Amino acid sequence: MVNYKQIYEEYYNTLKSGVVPVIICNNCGLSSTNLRTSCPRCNSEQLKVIGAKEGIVYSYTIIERGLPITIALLLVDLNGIRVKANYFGDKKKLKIGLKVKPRYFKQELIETLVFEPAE
Amino acid sequence: MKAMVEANIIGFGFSYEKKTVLPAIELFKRASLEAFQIANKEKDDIDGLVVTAVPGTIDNAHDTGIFLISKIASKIGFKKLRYIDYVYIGGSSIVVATFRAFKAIESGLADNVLVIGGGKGNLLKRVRSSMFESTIKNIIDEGITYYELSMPAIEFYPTSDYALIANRYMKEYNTDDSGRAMIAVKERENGNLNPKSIYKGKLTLKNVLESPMVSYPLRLLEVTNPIDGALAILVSKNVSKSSITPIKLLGYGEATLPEPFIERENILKTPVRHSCKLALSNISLDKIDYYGIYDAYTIMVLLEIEDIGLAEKGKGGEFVMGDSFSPTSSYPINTNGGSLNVGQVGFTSGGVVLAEALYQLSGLAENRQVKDAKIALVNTLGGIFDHSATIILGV
Repeated sequence: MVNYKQIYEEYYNTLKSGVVPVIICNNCGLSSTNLRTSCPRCNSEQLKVIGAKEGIVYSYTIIERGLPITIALLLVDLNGIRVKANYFGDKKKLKIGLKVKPRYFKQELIETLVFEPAE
Repeated sequence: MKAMVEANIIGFGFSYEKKTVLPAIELFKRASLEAFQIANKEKDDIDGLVVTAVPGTIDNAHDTGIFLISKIASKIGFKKLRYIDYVYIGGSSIVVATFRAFKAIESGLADNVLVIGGGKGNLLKRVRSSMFESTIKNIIDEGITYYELSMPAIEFYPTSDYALIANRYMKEYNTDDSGRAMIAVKERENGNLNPKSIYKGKLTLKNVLESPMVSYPLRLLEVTNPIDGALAILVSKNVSKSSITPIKLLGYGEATLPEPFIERENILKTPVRHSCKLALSNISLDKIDYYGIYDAYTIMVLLEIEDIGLAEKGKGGEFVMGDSFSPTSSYPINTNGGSLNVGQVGFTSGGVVLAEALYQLSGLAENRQVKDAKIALVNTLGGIFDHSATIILGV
């Protein structure tokens, strides 16, 4: 029986330390920022978590309607692996290709990483 | 042209309102009665029922699947059902449901299958917001596991994902908003020809580009608005009494992109190329008289145009600027105005673009009629390019 709690805790601790948790399959090497309980490619349950510190904006949007707030959403490329996350930096700097870095953010039920410009 | 199956669409009804106090099943009933009238059939002839509805668009949230089918059967009064099915795979559901009706008849499961798709889009519109019910820590503490859990982010699904796609498209192909925005202009020109279009009036490219931003770069006039209604289609083995020329199934294809959105190397890739290739295995694209193209967002239409094969990758905008969309153009597309102008009936655009194919092929499209419309291609999408279903119908 695989200890799912362990992979969840590794994921959570990585996130809390302010770097993006990347789940890697120990068997086939498939990586993703989606937390899973087994590998969708080789079905192995031997997964580990590593952290990714810096990325570039692959695409972005600024949501102005439909939510109670205006907020920027990024699709960040971390060396070929992607994560969807909010952007809390200066919106004027926002463009595809911008170097960004993660920051731990907690407020009520939201506990996640947000991104800001790296420089 | 040879039909895939010895069955035909012999009647249909498309009934919708911007907003109604009527219950969803009443809307289903109205569309069904219209279909029976065109087909010259009685409800007692119906022995198969395939239903599709977006969860949350029916009056009672628990009314999905078999519960919804039972309710429809008792409220509309179908007493002889021997085949039932419930389809929900997002925006392509109505096309998939129609195909299943044909296949049920081919298999001998039923002789007269009614397909109903719709619901009250307004019910779901109210609850759209980004909700966080638990933190990762709480999930761990409670011992809950998910097959897949994305890093939490505030988003406006699915609009913000399509906005990410639209923004990346402009970067990848070095284009601006105009080709995409022109889709809204051209669909409005078609909508102005349709007496039942909900959004009307002259629209310029400038109007679209100056409409309020929803999720950059997608603006309000590029995003469909959910409304209430239903499309009913009657597929039958026996065509004798119908008042329309029976509509044949000429081609069909489905395709899926299995990777989650964030794991796709190229977020501009769609499954449309594959579903169209399957659907068009016996028919060439130049035989198509009407195109129904799923249009919840302008960016979807742009990528579908390219992946159906009407334009090269990155050149969809040029195609839109050319002789296309209007009923008299070389490529009539969404001639009823699409869901951008009719409204997104039941929170999905599939019924809107499929219904227009049926009007066109039956010669019932009035002043927007495509001359000698014999063959229609309808392409629909579900999720964030997760699933595509393409159907070719003809008379």
